[in-house]
Amino acid sequence: MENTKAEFSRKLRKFAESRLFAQLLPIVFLVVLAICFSIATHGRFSKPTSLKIILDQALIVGTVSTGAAFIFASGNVNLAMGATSVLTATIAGMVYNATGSFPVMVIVAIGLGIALMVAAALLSTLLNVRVMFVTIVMMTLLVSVQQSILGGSNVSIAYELTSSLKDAGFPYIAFSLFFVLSFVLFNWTRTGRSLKMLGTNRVCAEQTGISFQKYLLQAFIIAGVGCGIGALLIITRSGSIGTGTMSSLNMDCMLAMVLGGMSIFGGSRSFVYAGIIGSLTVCVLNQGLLMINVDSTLIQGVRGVLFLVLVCTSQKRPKGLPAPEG
Amino acid sequence: MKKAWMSFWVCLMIMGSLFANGSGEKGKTASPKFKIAVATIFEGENWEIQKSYYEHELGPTLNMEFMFSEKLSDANGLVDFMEKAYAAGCQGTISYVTSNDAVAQGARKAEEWGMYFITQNSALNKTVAGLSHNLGHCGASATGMGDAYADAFGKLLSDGKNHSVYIFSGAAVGGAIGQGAASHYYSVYGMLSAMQKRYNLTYSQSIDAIINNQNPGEVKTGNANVKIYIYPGLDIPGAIKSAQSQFQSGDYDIFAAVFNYSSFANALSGVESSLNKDIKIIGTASIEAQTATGFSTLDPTGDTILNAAVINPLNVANGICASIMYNALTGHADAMRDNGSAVLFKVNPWACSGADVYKGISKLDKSHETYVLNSEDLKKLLCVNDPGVTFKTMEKKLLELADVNAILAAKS
Repeated sequence: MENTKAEFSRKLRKFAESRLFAQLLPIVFLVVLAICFSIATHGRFSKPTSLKIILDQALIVGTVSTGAAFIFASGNVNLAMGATSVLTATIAGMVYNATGSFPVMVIVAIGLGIALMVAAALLSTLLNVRVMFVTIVMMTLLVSVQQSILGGSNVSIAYELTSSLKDAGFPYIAFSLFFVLSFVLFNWTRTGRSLKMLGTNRVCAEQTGISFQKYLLQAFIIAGVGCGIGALLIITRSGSIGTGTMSSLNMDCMLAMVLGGMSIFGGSRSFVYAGIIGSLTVCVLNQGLLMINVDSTLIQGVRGVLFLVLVCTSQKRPKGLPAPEG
Repeated sequence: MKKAWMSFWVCLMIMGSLFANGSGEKGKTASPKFKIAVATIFEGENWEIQKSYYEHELGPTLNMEFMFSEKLSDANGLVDFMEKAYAAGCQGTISYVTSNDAVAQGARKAEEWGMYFITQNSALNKTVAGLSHNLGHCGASATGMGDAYADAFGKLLSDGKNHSVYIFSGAAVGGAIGQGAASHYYSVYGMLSAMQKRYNLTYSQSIDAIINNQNPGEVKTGNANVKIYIYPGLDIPGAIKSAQSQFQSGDYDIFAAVFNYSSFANALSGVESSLNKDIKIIGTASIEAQTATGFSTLDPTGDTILNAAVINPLNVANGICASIMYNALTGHADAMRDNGSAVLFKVNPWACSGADVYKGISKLDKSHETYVLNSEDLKKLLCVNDPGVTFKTMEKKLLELADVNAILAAKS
């Protein structure tokens, strides 16, 4: 009896430490949350309108954090994703207002997103400064640039454009294309595998011939595409961009990634879908708690506590390889 | 493993307590309540006072329950919250997010979903005024605010001495009237007029030209003993630096801000201490502890920190908005609109010329008996009780509520 119990306990511990558990936990948490809220709201939560709203709200954070997953996988943190997306949206919106051309706006958004991210990557690799510090500076710089451009005003996009884009399902199409591209690159190409190896252990990865600079640049380019598409989604959804627009986007992305099961250390426990799963979880939590009449000030606290709990539960550095420090 | 289980139980406990406390099942009465979303830009004491009025006076009187947002700042936040509110079954939204984009997008979203929408805004957004679910705007009257400033400021000048004043506002931001700073424009207009009248000043330009000058500086008054410095707006490059040196000089004895006094109180105390000079402050305020503190705490020269104020009666707008919303939800939306167009309802702020006056005002909006618009008042504004109620009834009521002395007499 004792042996059986010990064996069961050992198996359970092994499963809890497995990659599969890390992959499944966020999805199970999301599904359980959704079921609980559906029961508590007598089915109102799971109505198609409600679910569509959750999906719509999750798309911007989901898109930007899907791109950011490549940087996270390499064991780095980019704190300028939000500022890049919002500045890109500001300039792309101004370009649309000047030209009236949607294709030009798309090209500018994606091009600028990539350019800003490449600049951050180059600064990090050329100056040999950690990505996190470079992106902190970039974040401050980009926010200042946006404030200088806008002053106290907003960039407003014609309602006809934003409503027709929504009606045509542009946000879903843009997200789906980017997600499929990211999924393929992350799981089935050398880029994705190399980034995960760098995240697991940079020293070992570099000794096998994987260039940190090269793959970091690639990760930032993909993240830049994510920021560009995210900017287009911001324009479509908001219709106007001011200095306060999506100001918490960066933190929302970080929260979404961790809630979605992405390891904060990167490596093999990185999943490209962590961003969208986490983003959906945040939206489900926000909407569900509001629907059961939890006070809005309490919701912020609940989000924070759950975030901490999930970080404690799921974030564990793999024991198999030596840490980068030694 | 132990850590994982502990975390799991913490999660379970949090969610369990929230589900238990959440009112998914609560509030089921014989007649279903109207569910209204309230999109706020406030937080802190000021907002708690307003929330209490919603929950304890408006809710029971109008058979409403309210879903409050977190502090919002822009159109995107408003639309996000409205989406959640719609999914939660809200039939209307009262919004405090007042940028033109936010009003336009909120009104369009509301129209799309068949929700009624009203904003607490001082200017009418004409682009969406024709939408059938847009019930208009209710906010501080720009001209009323100007009158209140002229009144309260005029009393500060009435001690027979010459005064120099530093006027700090956002009047020239975005080109003044009709672009979001109308209340600041009229407030500065009121104060400059009061100075002109009191000291028989001859300005070198029209008051309109003085206000719309985006460069801060001294206004030529034609009287060497009366100086006026004007800081006409925020977000103007170079202006803040220029304004700061003038501010520090202390070459004035009244600081008139068209903002809440608390933003400047510490800085002014520093100027008063360093120059050993009493500077009087007039600013905007509402009925809350912070205002009482301003009128009762002494500055380094022994005078009160706040000397006069223009009080925004926040719960008046809340009561009117909720009544309009109720009328619309009970099938009288057309009566709340002017020939099919959204209406701008104007709340007149109150002039408070000193601590004694505030002592009386501070007793208002504390309970059912002292609410400026309590359930008895609200019931008179409902079409179900009086089919003759229209948007004009609301306008008339707002005009009555401009006289704070009459309110104090009625509520005492």
